[in-house]
This record gives sequence, C-alpha cells and structure tokens, in this order.
Amino acid sequence: MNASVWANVVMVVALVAPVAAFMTALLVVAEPEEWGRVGCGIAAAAWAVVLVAGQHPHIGRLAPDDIAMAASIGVALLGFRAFGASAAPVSVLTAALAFGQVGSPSTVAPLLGIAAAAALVAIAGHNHPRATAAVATGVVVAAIGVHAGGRGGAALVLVACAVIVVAGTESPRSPLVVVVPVALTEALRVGPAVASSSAGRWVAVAFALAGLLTVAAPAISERAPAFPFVTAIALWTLVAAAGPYAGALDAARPLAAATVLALMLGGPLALLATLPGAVVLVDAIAGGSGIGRFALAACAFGAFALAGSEIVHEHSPERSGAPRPRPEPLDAVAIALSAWLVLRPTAWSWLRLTGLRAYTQGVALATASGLLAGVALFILGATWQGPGPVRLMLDGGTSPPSAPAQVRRVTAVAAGAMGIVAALLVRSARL
Amino acid sequence: MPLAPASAGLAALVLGATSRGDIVVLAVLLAVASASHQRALAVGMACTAALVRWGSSSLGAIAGAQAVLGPAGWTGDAAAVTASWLTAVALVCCVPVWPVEATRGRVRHVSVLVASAPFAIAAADLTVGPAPGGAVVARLIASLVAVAIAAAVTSVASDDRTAHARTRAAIVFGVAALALAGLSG
Repeated sequence: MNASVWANVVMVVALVAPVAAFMTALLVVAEPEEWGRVGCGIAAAAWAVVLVAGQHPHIGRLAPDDIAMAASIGVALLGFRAFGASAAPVSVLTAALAFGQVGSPSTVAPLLGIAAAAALVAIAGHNHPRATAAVATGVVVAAIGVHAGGRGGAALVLVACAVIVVAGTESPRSPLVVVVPVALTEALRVGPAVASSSAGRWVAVAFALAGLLTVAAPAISERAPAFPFVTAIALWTLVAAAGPYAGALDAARPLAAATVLALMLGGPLALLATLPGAVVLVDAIAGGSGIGRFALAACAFGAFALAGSEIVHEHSPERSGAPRPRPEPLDAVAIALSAWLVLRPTAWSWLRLTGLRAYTQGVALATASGLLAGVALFILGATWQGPGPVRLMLDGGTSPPSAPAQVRRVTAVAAGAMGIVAALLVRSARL
Repeated sequence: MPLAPASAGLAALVLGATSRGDIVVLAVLLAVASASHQRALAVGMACTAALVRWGSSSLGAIAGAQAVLGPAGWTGDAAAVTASWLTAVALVCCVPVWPVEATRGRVRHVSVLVASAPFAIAAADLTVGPAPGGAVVARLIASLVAVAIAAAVTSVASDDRTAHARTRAAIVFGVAALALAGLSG
C-alpha cells in the first residue's frame, strides 16, 4: 500500500476543506454556503488526486481504501451541487468513510457518519423532515444488523441502506443527498456476507421490487411521492451488492459510480452511465437459475417499461414549455466522467472490472460509427427532433423548502437521538 | 430523418454486422433507434431471449457458439429454435416509421432502408449468425433476406394503425421468445 507524506497531507486537506471554508466565510461575513461549496470542490479535487495517483493515505485510524476515496469524491461533488449548507455533513461523512484500518474498513463509522450528517442537514434545512427521519431510522436498523451480525444481520444492514438510499435520492438537490454514496459504500462492505446465498437472492428480489415500486409510484397513486429514476438505479446497485448470483457483486461498484453521476446530472440520458454495471449484472443474472432470476428479470423489464413511459410523458410536446436547465461548470465534469465511465470503465481501476472486453470493443465501435453516421446524416439534412440533448442530460431540479425552525429543531434532536441509539448498538459490533 | 434514432440505428448496424460488442449495448442502440418506448421494450425482450439462450452477452461469443454448434434458427430443442425465430420476428416488427417529407421516391426508399437495416441485421445475427468458420454464407443470405422483409413490411405497414399493430405484435413475440428461451434454458 502506497502512503506518501504528500498523500497524507492531501487527505487532511480533503477532510477539513469544506468545514474550513464554511467557518472562514462565517468569520469574514461572506456567503457561507457559497464558501462551503468551494470547500466541497477542493475536497473532491483532493480526493481525486489521491485516488488517481494510486495512493492509500494512512494517519492513525484514518486509512481509506479505494472505494472510500471514490465515495468521498462522490460525497463532495454532491455536496457541491446541493442547495443549502452541505459543508459540515460532507466533512463528517468523508471522515467516516476514511475511518478504519488498512485492509479492514469500518462498517460502523459510516453509519454514525450518516446519523451525524442527518442531524446537521436537519438543522441546515432544504430537506424533507420525513426523509431525514427515514435516514435516521435506517441508521438504527442498520446498527441492529451490525450488532446482530451473521448473514441475517448483513441482510438487515442492506435493507437499512436501501431505506437510506431511497430517502436520500428523493430530492437530488437537497443536502441530504450526500448520504447516498456512504450508504452504498456500507452496502458494498457488508454485501459479501450474504452473497450467493438464498438470503442474498431474496433481499435482491426485494430491492428489485422496491425499484419497480419507486418508478411505478406516480402511476399507482397521485399522492405517492415521485422518486427520480436514479432511486431505482441506486436500488439496483443494492441488488448487485447483495450478490444474488456469482459475478453480481462486480456490478455493484460501477452501478454505484453511475448512481452518483446520475444524481449529479439528473436527466434521463444520464442513465447511460449505468451501461457497464448493467452489462456485468445482466451477465450474472443470465448465468443464474431459479425463480429469483425470473423475478429479477421481470422487475427490470417492468421498471424499464414504466421509466420509458414516464420519460416519454415528461418530454412530450405539451410539456416542452418547462424551463430549460441551465448548465453549470460542474455539469461538464459530470458529463466527462460519465462518458469516461461508459467508454473505458476498465480504466477506473477501483472498479476492479475484468472480462469487459466485448463491451469496451463494442461501445467504442458504436460510438465511433454513431458519431460518423450522425455527422453524415446531419450534412444530408437530418434534424434533431424532440427535446434537446441538454434537456435530456440535465435536470435543473429544485430543493425542498426549509421546514419551520421548530420542525427542524425537533427533527435534528430526533436524528441525534437515533444516532446515539445506533452508537450504543454498534459498541458490540459483530459484523 | 430524425438524427438521434438514425445515428443509433447505424451504430447498431455496425455492431450487428461485425458481431462485435455486447448485446446490452446493441439493445440500447436498437431501443433508441426504435423511437418508441413500447418498441424499445420489445427490443429489450428479444435481445434478452438471445442472451438467455446463449448464456453470454458478448455478440462475438454468440456468433462463435453458432459457428461451432450451428445457427440458432435450426439448432437445439424446439423451444430454443422457436425462441430464436420469434426473436427475429420481434426485431423486424420493431422497425420505426420515420416521418419523411417526400412520401414517394428515392428519399423514402432510403429512409425505409436505413430504418430497417439495423433491426434486420440484428435479427439475422441472433438467428442465423455464425462467425467465420461456420455457415457464413447462410448468414449473408439471411441478412439480405431479413433486410428485404423488414423493408417490405415497413413500407406496407407504415400508417399509424398498422404501425401500432406491428408494435403490439413485437411485444407479443418478444414475450413469447423470452418465455421459450427461459423454458429451453
């Protein structure tokens, strides 16, 4: 494991940058939220430098592995993109992700980090109190699973991660979204305990059904909360993390990366980032057997059909009067990362993807031939029809309004209390 | 001619003709080319049927398996063979009808051909698609026949009513292909 002095220094910078920027702004009476965003950007860049350089910084009990560093980049980028004050939750969560020993990352620290972040986000506002409450409840359920240990405990942690992920993705521009990469990382750490078992298969089927429900919710009832498509992707990441069949676990990392990128971009075209993970997962499910394989395939097709219908409805001519999203510089970063992930997923060494030769060959060939054909057709007079690429790729999104101060205080206290309960439970962790 | 579906279709044509790449990528490209979420669903089911039949998502592996074992259209048990032909029919039924200003003449013929060829080549690839070393002549003939059939069907059934009927048929054939492929697997 490489652990240069400079990498340790960069890690410290990455950990403290968001909060330091926020505090500096408070002291000089500037705009703290804007400064916090700058701090998140610095943190994302610092984590990216360490990850790309192949370094594994190590200071005391802070020893992030490559997944933790990649998740930290995701947390910082989502914090940068979110409305409201997200600097403190970002610092807390990245520290929680880094906690652990070399080769033995902590399964406890991310849960406590999520609990602390939920309390901080509740204080800051710009989130649904019910989403914060769901995240805090999820942390307690996960702590019970960590306390119980074994295959059942691991399954319970995965279910709790699903609750956290669904609540976190409900509003992609809320500061609460920063808990999503952490919950996915926790699932990646715990998932191998249930992989290739009947428990893992049934948990995976439950997540696939939940994914279908999140997409179908608006069609079932007008009063049901409308989840973005990325919620279903996040749940399919957990399907892969549960390892229902051999090889499915390999799909979890690329799907987690795609989830974060899709959260940043928001538009339906961003779903293309799931391609490498989807290919690996489809191969794994196709190689499986039994009713679980049939159920997973049926849920995938159901979600696909409903999502397609919803996308067509969203972008129909009568709704084309919706405001055009305004691209920001960070969108260019997210688009570049998405294109890189789709075209060369094997270049992302932390994904540990192997056996994607057919995919990488094909996607390069398809991109080249598609671009050439597009240019030729454009010269011959073909026109772009329907909503433009920007509208398909980006979704401006809105943040939920801040709840009244009293509600925020109660939610923060409740989240804090749940965090204390979780901390007491994980003192005797068996997972 | 719509730019995005036509470009995606031509990219799918290259993948199908060369048997390079992954069937999931091919399915995505054909889904975009089909320009309808219902036809996209049928494309997804047809491609999944082929995936279940061969147990691999690599188009090269599917072509290689057909070179060794024999084309999918007449190799294996009855359910598997039927699933292969239903896959092909479902794909041919998914060809979109693009709005073209010139309703007659060469432009319309070219438009129909560009729209049909990717689906027809994919259908031939998944049903009679051995790699070099196998029955490549049969693949060539099947590709030409498939393109001719797809273009003819699209030309004849191009009004809204028949296009909807084709879409519904594609979904039915896709479901049947998937069910039979699952049974044979």
